[in-house]
Amino acid sequence: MRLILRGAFGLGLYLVLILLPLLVGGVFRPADAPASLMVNLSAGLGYVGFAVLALETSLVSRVQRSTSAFGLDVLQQFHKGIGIVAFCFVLVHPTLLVLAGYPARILLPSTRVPLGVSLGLGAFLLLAVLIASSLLRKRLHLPYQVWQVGHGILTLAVIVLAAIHVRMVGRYVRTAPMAVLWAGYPLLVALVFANYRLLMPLRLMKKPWRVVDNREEAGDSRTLRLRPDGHRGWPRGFAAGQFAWLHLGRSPFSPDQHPISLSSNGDEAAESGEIAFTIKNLGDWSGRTVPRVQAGDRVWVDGPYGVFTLDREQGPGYVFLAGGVGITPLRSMLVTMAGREDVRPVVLFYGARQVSDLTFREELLALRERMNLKVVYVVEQPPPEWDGERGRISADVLRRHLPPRQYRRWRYFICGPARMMDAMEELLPTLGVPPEQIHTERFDMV
Amino acid sequence: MHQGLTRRLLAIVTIIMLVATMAFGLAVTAVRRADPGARVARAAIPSVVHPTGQSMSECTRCHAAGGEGLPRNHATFALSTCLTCHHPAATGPERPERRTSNGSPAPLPHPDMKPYDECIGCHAIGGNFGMPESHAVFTIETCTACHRSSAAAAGP
Repeated sequence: MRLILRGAFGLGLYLVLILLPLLVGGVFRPADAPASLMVNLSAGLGYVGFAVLALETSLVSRVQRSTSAFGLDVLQQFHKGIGIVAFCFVLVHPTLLVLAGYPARILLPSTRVPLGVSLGLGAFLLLAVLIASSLLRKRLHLPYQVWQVGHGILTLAVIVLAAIHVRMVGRYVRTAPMAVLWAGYPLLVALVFANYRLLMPLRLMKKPWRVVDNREEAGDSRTLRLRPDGHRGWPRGFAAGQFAWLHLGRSPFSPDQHPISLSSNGDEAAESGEIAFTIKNLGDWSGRTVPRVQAGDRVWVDGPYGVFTLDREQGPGYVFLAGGVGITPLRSMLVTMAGREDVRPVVLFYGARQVSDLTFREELLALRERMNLKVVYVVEQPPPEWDGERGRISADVLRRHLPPRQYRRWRYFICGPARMMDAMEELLPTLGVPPEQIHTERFDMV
Repeated sequence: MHQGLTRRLLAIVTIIMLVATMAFGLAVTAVRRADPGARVARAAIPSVVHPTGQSMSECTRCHAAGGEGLPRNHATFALSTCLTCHHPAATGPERPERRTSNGSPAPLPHPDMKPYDECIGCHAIGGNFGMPESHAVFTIETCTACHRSSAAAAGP
């Protein structure tokens, strides 16, 4: 109930902040407000589009209070989606002006076009680059760190140019209340950036972690075990299934940080302080930097985050569906349940291309001795002697291994490649599993 | 479920944004069109009836709220814009009627097109003066097809 209230409050506050320019502009109208409906609609779209863009940074700035209701992955997906919606708003904004009779050539860069208009055009073009570079990062082979730094710089540039554009050409911002409000949005962005890039790294700097070991795992993955260095770590542990941002650079100010699922027992983190991350080699940072980390190295950890957790989604039984390195948070859930001597039934379906890709294969089978666990490995290209499931996780595979009726009341946790999660989210409701019992975690944002 | 939650959130927020923008556009347009004061205020631009030399360059010393007063629709104008439109009576032209006696479009109230060759600098975009509603479909290139500069209009 508290979470629902917190979510409703967060959504309400967000709506107020993005619609405030319309309210203030409508109440405190300038005497020379446009009399054309098209022009006023255009102004409204521009103001809302700007407010949405100004709040984009706060959605993904890892403020615990704002992430706890929806989860950081939902906020990141929302950040991406609403950014595209805002882009459409600011695209329609000048289009309506041209339809209202304004000359189309103001949309082209020229010394004859007023500076304020040109700045708006510049902000729009940078926004287009910002969104295109995010949607096409992998196709463009843009390294994550380069994209991350560029994304921040482009965001600031868009906000500054757009704010000046509105201040120079917007008629509604010439009233005092609107001028104050308009100064507030860039200020909010500056505060979020200052917190994210300065205060948070400073806080992390005081709480370093030491690498205990860097172990090679099956499936081209590595597990980093960490212990707090000179502090208590996370006294309340973490909820199994959560993740944290791992900084392997020289300091927490470095952009070299990545969201990684915790693979260890969440309760033990409270007792011993020890935590572990399992990272698959995906080519760039995970393939070059992670293998070079050595025992004794100092790293920084920002977390824990996430709502993809056992404790939040209680059920009479669980079905875990994993693909590739998506096993990591599910492994954390399993070892935590085993540690708690949880007797509830769990069925784990783990899909991989080859048997050698199954990370924690033997360990997961061994867990069956300590808890009510059934493990089903589904391999696409198994060796001839393989006696387990072949192919991909399908309706037939699920039916063969789930208990006849109870499975409809169980909770489903899915983690793996986006395509696999899409397929499972589509498949499970057809088997009679209510969508509210299906939980996923997606971080393949860019 | 998270995918569905994100989609629902996006749909709700987008619909609310669109409805609010429509409501804003309709409301401010209706209020603006119903405001007769604004129309009257734009009917004529009076000339400056005193010299505008160095000692009287600060218009707002006298023309400020509580002093000689400013029209309501001038509240957001910058000081530097005064002489753009209000010309000294002795040197500048009176603002012509919107239409000449034979019904043709009024000449421009500027002595010549320079430095006013960028009509949208003042009219509509970022400027203090809009265009008549009937001009909504016109483009900037067509302004001087009908509105000639006052010097040209005076003609030989």
